[in-house]
Amino acid sequence: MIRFENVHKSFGPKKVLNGLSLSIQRGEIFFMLGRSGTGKSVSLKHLVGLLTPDSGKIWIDDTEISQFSENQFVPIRKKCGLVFQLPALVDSRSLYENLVLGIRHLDAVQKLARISATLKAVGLESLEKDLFERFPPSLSYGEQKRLALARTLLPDPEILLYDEPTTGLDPTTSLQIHDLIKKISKDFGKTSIVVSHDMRNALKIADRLAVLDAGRVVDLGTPEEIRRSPVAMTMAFMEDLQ
Amino acid sequence: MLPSLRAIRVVQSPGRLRHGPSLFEVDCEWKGPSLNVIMGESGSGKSTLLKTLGGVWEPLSGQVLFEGESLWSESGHRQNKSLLSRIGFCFQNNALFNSMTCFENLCFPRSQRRPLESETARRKIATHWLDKVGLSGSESLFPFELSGGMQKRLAIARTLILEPDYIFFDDPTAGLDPITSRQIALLLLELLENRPALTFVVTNDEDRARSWAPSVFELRGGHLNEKRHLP
Repeated sequence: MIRFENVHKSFGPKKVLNGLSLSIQRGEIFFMLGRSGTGKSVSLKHLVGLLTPDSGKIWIDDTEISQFSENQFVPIRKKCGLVFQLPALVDSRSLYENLVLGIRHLDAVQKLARISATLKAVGLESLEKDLFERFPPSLSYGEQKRLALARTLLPDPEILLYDEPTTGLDPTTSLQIHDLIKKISKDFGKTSIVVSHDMRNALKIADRLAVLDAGRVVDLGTPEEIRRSPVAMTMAFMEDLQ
Repeated sequence: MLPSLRAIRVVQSPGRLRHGPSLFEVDCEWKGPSLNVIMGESGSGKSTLLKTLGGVWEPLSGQVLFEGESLWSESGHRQNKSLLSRIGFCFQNNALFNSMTCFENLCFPRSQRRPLESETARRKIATHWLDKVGLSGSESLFPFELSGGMQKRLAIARTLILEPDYIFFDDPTAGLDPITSRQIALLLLELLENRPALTFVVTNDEDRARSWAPSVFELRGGHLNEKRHLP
């Protein structure tokens, strides 16, 4: 379980998290929605120690990580895989070299076996024969996103954190990525936290959704509850769906 | 003369590799001020096509003709400067100058394209455009101090401040939340209503596309198909 307890975070005079409190259950697909600058990505970064809260507490399972040191975050980062908004692949390295970044401790046979299974899971099995010859720029943007997801999945993290995974993708590819998030979460029992602006797909695959405004949760519920919500910010996000 | 744009067998490859496979071959003509929305799957080459039509990149083969004239010389240089000054391009990542204030970002293209314009006139028009896109009061801020929506407004103002006859917008609402995205879509419509031009917008967002035009061009399988009506 993941829990934020009254978390505050400011950058200079700008207050980004302003008493964020929420809890996410194991195995859940949890969406965080809200306008740009409301602290969605900032919350994710706190979970992997890229940011430290000014005050408040953050828990992963029974461990309070709020003020962890770099060393203490090592096992946490093995537990949490972060899928960045941009694919963040290394363009000068082959697809294989990109994929093995998080599994360097395995031997060659183990690496290839795991890569093969993971590429199949993300629908990129056609790339398997060209892994050593091809480089990220030769892939479409949708394929790059999938490859980045495969790279995050390879070390087998328990918790997957997605930072706007479908920004810049067409509706069909966007739907495919969301279906993939659901499949991976359900097939492998992963906890998934997805930061997104895409209410349409969020309502399709989320177990629960939180709407953030000004650094705190203003609405929280299942897709059905969110659809009927009277909260102004939620209604504004739903406007395109009418 | 009314703006017109003709693409004659325009070919581009992924990564613009000289000997790469063809990404698309486009034959199409647009005449007079209009708003043309281009959609297509990720990786189909929408942004590449827009950059090729808008004179950012030279076609691998074929020709892009503005009122019958090409922007490019035989040696691959953009030689037609008078034509170039009539084109406005708004990039997906905004491409603002982070070392310049909002005000300077707007003055810069005017100073480059209209060097004889007086400083007073330039400052007056920059102030006017900041006001038009709702950024009055942000004159002295730098782009990195702005939200995503504000950066997009500034990028739009910088595109339109040259009063172009040909305008190209590359996914102007990508990465914005739906509320900001609707505001930007509306702003574009308002601004274009007062500035008749031959305009092209690439987008992945069907909701926004619907607000701009009843139907769209679709880039699929390397061809630009006229026109798909949106449901």
